[in-house]
Amino acid sequence: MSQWTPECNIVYTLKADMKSDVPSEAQKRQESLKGILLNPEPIGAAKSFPADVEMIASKVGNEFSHLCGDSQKQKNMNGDRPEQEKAIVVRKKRKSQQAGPSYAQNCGGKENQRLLGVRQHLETQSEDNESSFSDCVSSPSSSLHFGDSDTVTSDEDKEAAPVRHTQAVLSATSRTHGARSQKWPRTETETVPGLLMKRPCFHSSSSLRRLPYRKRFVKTSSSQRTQNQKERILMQRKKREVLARRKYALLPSSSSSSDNDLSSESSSSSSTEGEEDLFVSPSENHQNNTAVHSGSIDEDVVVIEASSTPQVTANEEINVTSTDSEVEIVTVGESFRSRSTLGHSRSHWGQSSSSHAARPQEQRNRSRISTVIQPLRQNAAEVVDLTVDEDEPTIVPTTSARVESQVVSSTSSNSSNTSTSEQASDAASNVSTSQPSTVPETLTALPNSSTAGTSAGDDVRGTASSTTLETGPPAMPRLPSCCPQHSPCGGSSQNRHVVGHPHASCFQQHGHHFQHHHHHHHSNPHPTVPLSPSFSDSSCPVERPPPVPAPCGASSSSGTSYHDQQALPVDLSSNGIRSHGSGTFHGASAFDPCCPGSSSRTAIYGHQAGAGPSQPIAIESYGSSMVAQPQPQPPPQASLSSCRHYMHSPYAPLTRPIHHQSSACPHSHGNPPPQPQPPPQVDYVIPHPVHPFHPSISSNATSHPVPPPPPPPNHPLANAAAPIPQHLPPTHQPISHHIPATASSAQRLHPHEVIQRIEVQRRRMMQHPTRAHERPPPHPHRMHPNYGHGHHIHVPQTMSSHPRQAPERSAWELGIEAGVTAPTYPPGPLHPHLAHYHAPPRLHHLQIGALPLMVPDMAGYPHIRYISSGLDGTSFRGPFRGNFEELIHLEERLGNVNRGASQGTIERCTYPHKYKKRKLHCKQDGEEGTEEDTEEKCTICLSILEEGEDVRRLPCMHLFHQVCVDQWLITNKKCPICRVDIEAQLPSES
Amino acid sequence: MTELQSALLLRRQLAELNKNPVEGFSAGLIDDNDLYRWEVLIIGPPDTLYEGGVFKAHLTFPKDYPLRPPKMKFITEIWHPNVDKNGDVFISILHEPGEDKYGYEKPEERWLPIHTVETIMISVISMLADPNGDSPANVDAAKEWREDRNGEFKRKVARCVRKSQETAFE
Repeated sequence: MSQWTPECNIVYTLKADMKSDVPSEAQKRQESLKGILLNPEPIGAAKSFPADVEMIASKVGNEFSHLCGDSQKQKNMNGDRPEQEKAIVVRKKRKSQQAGPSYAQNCGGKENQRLLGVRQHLETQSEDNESSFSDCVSSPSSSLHFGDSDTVTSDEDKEAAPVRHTQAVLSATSRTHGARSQKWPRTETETVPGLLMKRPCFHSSSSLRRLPYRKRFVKTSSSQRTQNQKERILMQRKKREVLARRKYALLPSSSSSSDNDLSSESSSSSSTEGEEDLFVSPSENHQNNTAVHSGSIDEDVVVIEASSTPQVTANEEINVTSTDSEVEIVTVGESFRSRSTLGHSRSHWGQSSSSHAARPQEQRNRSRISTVIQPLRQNAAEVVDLTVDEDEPTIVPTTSARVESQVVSSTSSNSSNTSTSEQASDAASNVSTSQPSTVPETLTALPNSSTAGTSAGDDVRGTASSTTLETGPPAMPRLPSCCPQHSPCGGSSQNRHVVGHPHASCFQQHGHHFQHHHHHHHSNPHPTVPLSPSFSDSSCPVERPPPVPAPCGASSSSGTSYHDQQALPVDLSSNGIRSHGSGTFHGASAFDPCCPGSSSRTAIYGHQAGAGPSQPIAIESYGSSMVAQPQPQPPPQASLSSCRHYMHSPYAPLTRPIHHQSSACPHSHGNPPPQPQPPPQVDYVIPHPVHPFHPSISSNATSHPVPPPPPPPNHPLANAAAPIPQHLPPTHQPISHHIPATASSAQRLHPHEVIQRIEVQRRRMMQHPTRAHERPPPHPHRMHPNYGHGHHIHVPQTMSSHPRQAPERSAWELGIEAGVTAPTYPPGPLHPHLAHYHAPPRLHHLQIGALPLMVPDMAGYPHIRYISSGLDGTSFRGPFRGNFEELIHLEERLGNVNRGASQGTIERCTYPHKYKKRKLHCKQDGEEGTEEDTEEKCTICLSILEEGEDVRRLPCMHLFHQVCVDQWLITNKKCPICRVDIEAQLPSES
Repeated sequence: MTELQSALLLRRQLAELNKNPVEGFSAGLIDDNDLYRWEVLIIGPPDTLYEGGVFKAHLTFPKDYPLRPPKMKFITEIWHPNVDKNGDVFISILHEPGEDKYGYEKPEERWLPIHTVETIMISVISMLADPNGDSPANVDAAKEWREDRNGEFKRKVARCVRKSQETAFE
């Protein structure tokens, strides 16, 4: 769990960073990108988001500032971070645009460049998919912001969370600064190209699948992505994979693509930051891309890179809140979000990142995402920490869910693989920060870096974010099994990468479901997956497919199921968070450092690493699978959440805000559990994924139907893979799993995401406690085996373990949260904070008009929530989060919830009975003063009270029809006649 | 259910007002088929600047009335601190329960589900007689009302009263 949590945190932070960065820079970048991409619209959305982001960022910024201080101390990055933070803050204060400038100013060329890169990505994405991008961006950023803000504001833990965020941001910025003051310009340009490149790649490989999804999800997103893009994406992915393998070589590998610069930057930054963050993203992306190719195409690459600074940074940074501050969630596109929400996110991220970096144009969405991701990645490395939050180890989990989800289909596996490879590579190369953090960042960084390579910095970041997302994907991997199911669903919903997206969505859903289920069922899935479960799911080429299913679970949740069921959203969010966390963590952890973060993933990664050779792909697949599996566990949630967040964030702007909160909770919940229950996660992903959850969640049901078919294929692989995920992954990776997952995820994400987010929140509210419990078991298994093995991933495991250790967190689906919260902050404090935070996020979500459209955003919101929760640390426990979220929602909806009374209160404080004229008269002389002859009227409906009618007498002795007065008391607990509070008297009495 | 309830309640009120008219105003439906849109004629309260005026206003009820208040809008031009220049009436009882957007109103003065057209009209008539300068909807009118009540404010109100008389019988 801890691992997950850290990752999640990271992811969140990343998201926050992304948001902050994106908004400010994004606008500018977007403009530039627009020119490049030709998609001006997205920019607008992005801009709008930035504003939200700013809000968040401002909040976060404050927190970050605190954190930054710490982070700075901890790392060189810290110094930069502070600036970044400031910049962020400024950005926050200023609106997105303003913030951008401020950032630029603050950061100077470097940070700005990075940010720009991110923004560019975002912009490009946004441009491509205006709605999607905007959603994605906004959602991510907003979500992040929200989360950050929430976490920060709510928790004084802020320090930790903020720190993380700030770190992530800072790291990103600092990276950029240190590495490339000039990078901004470069990054921008590079990123843009990279994005274009990436997109193309995606298109070529997975873009097709994803594109559809994305398009579907994102409306505007990725239409442009074409087969060419997919091909490019595939190429990128391959590159990424290679890079990932090299990964740890980081920058170089990442640089493979045009994005290399970015990736390198990111990596460098990450490395520089070193704090925790390893940006695996590039590598992951690459992996994803390669593996996923078609699937990975994901325009919406949500790279959630948790920088994994797994242990160290995680500890330090994570410590703050959960330290995972840096969960970087890169929202690719809305579709990505959806995808990302689950494990898909990672894949998406990775893909997106890679695609973005490499081929922004084709996959504008991705590019956008990537942009987002990049920031995330930058942050991601830091972000990775999310998983760490729970425990340092978690760091990696970040992307798994997303990746899985997205990747799952095509990407998911890829993502997983990529993520793994990426992570590894990231850890090595890029990641810079991620490596330190190892897992998360590395994961994310790797993919992105690898693919994006050139744009690496950004890409990497993106990848990182993607990785985080991927974490989702990891879930996705699970989804694979689920995905199939989901894919159907997802496919139906998004279908870009038919499977992939669906998966993503499925993943999310599943993830959520899984998470929930996991919590509940935990091990059920595990059975198959104990070790391999996750592997089988995510990694197993099939795995990946399986993973995909898992992701699907997550994605599915995000996708249809979630959408269908609002509760699902919650779950999803949680899953998403988990997945995200897991994903990122897993992916990251798996590869690098991730280790801790995503234990399962790490294991997977490790497998991948072991498999490594062929592994690049395999790894990716593993990564994805890993991610997915891990995600299932804590990571999944984290990843999912992150994914969702990201996704949501985009949506969030629109609607997410609300969701995020829930997601956050899930993360915390999920993460903790996941870590403990890596296997379960896997199970979740695959078996459970959807089904268990689905039952609970409508989305699940929907997703299930579809998923099943895909799952089988995937599952076999997954199952087999589970044990031997690594082996399978390579083969599997190629397999459609990733793609399906991605596609499904992406597709699903949109509708599902929204619904899922909602549902997730609800579910989280409802399920978190249980889920957390259940989930932990699964995750641990999955996570550990898979992730732990290969890469430093073990770290993620540790992360997960940490989460596990942290009972609370473990309980919380998101290890991240647990990790983060548990260590530093007590739940209690956090909760309050969370509530606060949640509210803002929710509000933001609501505020964002686009949100509705942007289902991903919804997911993103959850993520945000998760993040925030993660930041808050303990406070973020699922239950709390859920409650807060629910409350917030209610408040928002009702407007005056506070003034209203619950039905329980009404029943407790009033006297309901059957009206009896005479008796009443006798007994109630006072009331109306009417005597025997007089008639009593219900003053609300002005009708005379009739014998035998259900009436309610208030403490003030005023009598009304129950039907009439109850409606009023729910909104205002005062007597309609005398305005006496119905509790005023009773409370004192009681 | 809610809609039915609100429609039932409004119909009940309309019948009651037709049966037992209340001094100071008359009420009816703008469209006989729409119970949610009322037209009221308010007689300027005696011994006020508005005396002699006949002000037409529309009441728009939400579907979830009486849980939420109707909106009132003067069709006839009227110069009053609590009526904005668009004719929208801003009085506390027509504000939905909840946060006070302006910070002036006490929760106790907010909308209650027991309010009816009659009670609303009584409140509006009271408003005409005694403007609330603390929460002005028409800042200019509020300023004049405070600073030059018998000067510019009075002249503008008189002009509105004349207009209302001219338009009331058209």
